Amino acid sequence: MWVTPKIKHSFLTKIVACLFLIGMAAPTYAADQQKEWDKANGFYAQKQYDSAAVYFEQIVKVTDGNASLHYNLGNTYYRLNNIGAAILHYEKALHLNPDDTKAKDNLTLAKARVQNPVPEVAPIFFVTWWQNLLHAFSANVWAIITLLVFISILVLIYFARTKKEAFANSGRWLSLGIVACLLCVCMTYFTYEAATHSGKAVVMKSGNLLEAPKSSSKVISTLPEGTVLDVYVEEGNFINVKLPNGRLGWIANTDVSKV
Amino acid sequence: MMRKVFVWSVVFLLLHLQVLAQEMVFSAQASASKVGTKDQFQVTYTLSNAPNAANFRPPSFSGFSIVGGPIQSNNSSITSVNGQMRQTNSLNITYVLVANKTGTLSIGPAKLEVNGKDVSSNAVSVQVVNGSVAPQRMQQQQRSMDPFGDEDPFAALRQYQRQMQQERNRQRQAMQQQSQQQNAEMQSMSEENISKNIFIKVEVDKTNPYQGEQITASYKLYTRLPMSVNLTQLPSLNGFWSQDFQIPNPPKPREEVVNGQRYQVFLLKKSALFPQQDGALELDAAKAEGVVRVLQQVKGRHPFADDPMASFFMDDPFFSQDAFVGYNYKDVKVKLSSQPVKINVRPLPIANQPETFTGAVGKFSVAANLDKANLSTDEAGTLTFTISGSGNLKLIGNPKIEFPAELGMYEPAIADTITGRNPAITGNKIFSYSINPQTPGDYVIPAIPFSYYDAAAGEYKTISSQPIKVHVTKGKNYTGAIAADKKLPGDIHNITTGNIDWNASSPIAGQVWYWVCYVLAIGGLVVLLVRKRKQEAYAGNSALFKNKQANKVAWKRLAAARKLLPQQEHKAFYEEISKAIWLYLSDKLNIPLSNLSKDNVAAEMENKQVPLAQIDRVKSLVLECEMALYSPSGGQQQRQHTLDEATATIGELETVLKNKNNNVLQHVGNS
Repeated sequence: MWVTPKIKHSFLTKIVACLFLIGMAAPTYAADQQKEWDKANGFYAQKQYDSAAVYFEQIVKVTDGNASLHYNLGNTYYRLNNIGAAILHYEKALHLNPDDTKAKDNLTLAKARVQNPVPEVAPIFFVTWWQNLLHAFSANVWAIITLLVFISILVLIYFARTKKEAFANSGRWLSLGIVACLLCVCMTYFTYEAATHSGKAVVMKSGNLLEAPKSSSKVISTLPEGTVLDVYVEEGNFINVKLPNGRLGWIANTDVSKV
Repeated sequence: MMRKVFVWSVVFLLLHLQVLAQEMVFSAQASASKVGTKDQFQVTYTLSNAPNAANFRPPSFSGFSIVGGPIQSNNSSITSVNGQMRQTNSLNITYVLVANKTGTLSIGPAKLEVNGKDVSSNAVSVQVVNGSVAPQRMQQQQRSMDPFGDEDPFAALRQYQRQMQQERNRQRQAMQQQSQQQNAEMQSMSEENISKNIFIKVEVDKTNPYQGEQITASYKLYTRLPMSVNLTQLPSLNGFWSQDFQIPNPPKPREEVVNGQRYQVFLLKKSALFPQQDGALELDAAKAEGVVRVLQQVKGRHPFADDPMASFFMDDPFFSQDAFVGYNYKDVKVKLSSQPVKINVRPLPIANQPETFTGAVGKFSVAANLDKANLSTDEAGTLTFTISGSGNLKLIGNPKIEFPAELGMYEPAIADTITGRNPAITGNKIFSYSINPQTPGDYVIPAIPFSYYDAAAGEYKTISSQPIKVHVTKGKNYTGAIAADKKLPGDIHNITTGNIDWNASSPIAGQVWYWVCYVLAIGGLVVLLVRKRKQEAYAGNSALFKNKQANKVAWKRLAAARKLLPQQEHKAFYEEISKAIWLYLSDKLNIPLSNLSKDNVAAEMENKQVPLAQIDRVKSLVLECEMALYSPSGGQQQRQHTLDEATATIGELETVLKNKNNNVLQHVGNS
């Protein structure tokens, strides 16, 4: 009765301590970045977009995973009329923070400036549902839910073992719980995958969509700068991609940047 | 081409008439004594009977311009008077002059060498008035020069000879087109002095312009010689943007006096130049090649040597071959090149240079115009920004324009048109921006500022066009991503500013502690289950549990009683003691409290093989407690004794019963 809580507590304190130490180490970095960030924003305000871009890119080299940073960089490239890069960074910002409405608006505006864009075909309804489901809760929420469901299963097991009379029907609950837990694990996995790999790439300079992963293969079409592609497989210097209109093909990986 | 000059370059003297040497005459005569400044008149030098004359030097004709001449004519006549042959030879050299100023002007004497001696003619004075006087004087000129009359028996022959000779002269003159050159300058027109007589000169109106300021450069060919020259190399004018002026074709010569010499001037090239960089630039040379006809002194050769009639004179005993001195022409090949001209270009002042300055220098005005005021998203419009004026139009960079982004402006198409060249290059530069509006709405194309450097005023000036309103309506094809979306802002949202959390959080699922939680949960369950199983093992026999707890409970009661000992709580003390004993016995002997009695307890204790002495001790202790409860007597010593007795009794019972209980436990475990 007494022993387990004690152990838990000590573990928690250790974890907290670890997190705290990491938190202490980071701010020295963060102070520099904040300085450069303010400088870059200042350049942007003065409409010196090329200078702003240089500073933003410097920060990106150190910290890649900040939605605001990519959002601002996207704006800067938009102003510089570098639509490919603008779309890339808006996509990155949205990947990191899918609820950013400003980034969504700006991405739409940037996409409207793509020359001869590939028409976007709305995906089939269940794909949309699936996307919505993935976006309904973040990977972290799913991870916590999974943990809670798992713990409740363990609690159920405990009571089933200790109070057999009161939990005579616990078998059903238990199987239900296990199914729920498996579902949650799957969702955690999918959302985690989606959070770490966007599976998207942006055409940075107009490139050719090829039939096969060979530079000598037949050209299906030419993709304009700023086209957003779904990445499937990489093979050598080529990537198998899906166009916004659902068409499949290969493109040289030098023509695209992954989100 | 141009005028070709034939110089009939012979001083032709008829020599050595041995029969009768006539007296030599060398005189000057003007065709009119009163002329106007607009009139041409002739001055004729007549030389008669001068056999060894050479080196004719005309006067300087100061105050006059030579319009024609010298024209030479020869007369020769042989007369026989009283059986004596007389030959008269005369040479006329005629100049056609125009007076440059009014007043009484004098034409100085011409000089001639005869037998090594200088002979001068008379001077002629002419009265010059403004304008023009009566024109009759021109006609006198064709009078016969023959002083001998017609009675001469050889007149027919002489006439024929003279006619032939004049005919030949005319033919030659006609064949060579005109013939004009000053006799006295024949020497200066020889081959050695060719560079003084024909050259290319570059004229520049400014040598110290600002960068981008117009300068005008003229390449001119100066000549005093007949020539046929072609340009072989035009200047490349590196470092300049140049615009050529129109040059009349065929070129028309103008006359120009340089250092007192009169030149025919041909304009080869005239360009407006706009320096593209500052520093020292050079106008490189224009080059020409061609043939120039120069004069050459000829000795010992008859000028008519190749003439078909020459034999006539050759056989003439009066002609002496070696005594002849004269001039001939010669074609000389020349290569001409102008002197390079250094231009020192000043940089434009940096002070007060407006931000909108894109390199324009001159004087300009601007206008912006949109072809349609109403556009739909399907249409394309054209915004034209026109810069018109004079200056370096070609070198003007694109204006810096802030267009509303949703109008979809692209890089402009640029067209330059030069409309005028004199004196400065004027024209238009038109920037055409194509507009492809993407979002419906009302927009304003802001006033477009344009700055230029006014070199004349020496300052920068900024002008701007009028702002233009555009109304964009929805087009038929307006369905794109934007339409599908809800209300979009006209422009992108502004950037995020302020402080940002730089500690990028990776997903929980990727962190170790998350998975540690699972392990801990499972571990916790296992521990809990194990503990529960142990508890269940105890709880499976509650009597055993009570048995185990009995001692603990009894000691608690006794401890409570010990607290009561110093106080005068007599009843409470004994109650605690008796409860301790009774509950202990109840638990240890497994007898419910309801059935508990002295006999019962004694029987059970005997059953459990507790020694009799102990049973008696318990009985006496219980009795003592009952007695004390109902008849409160005795002091603190009594209570202390009872407490010690109870403690000792329970302790003894515990040791005795423990062994028995163990047996019982084993028994339960086996069942």
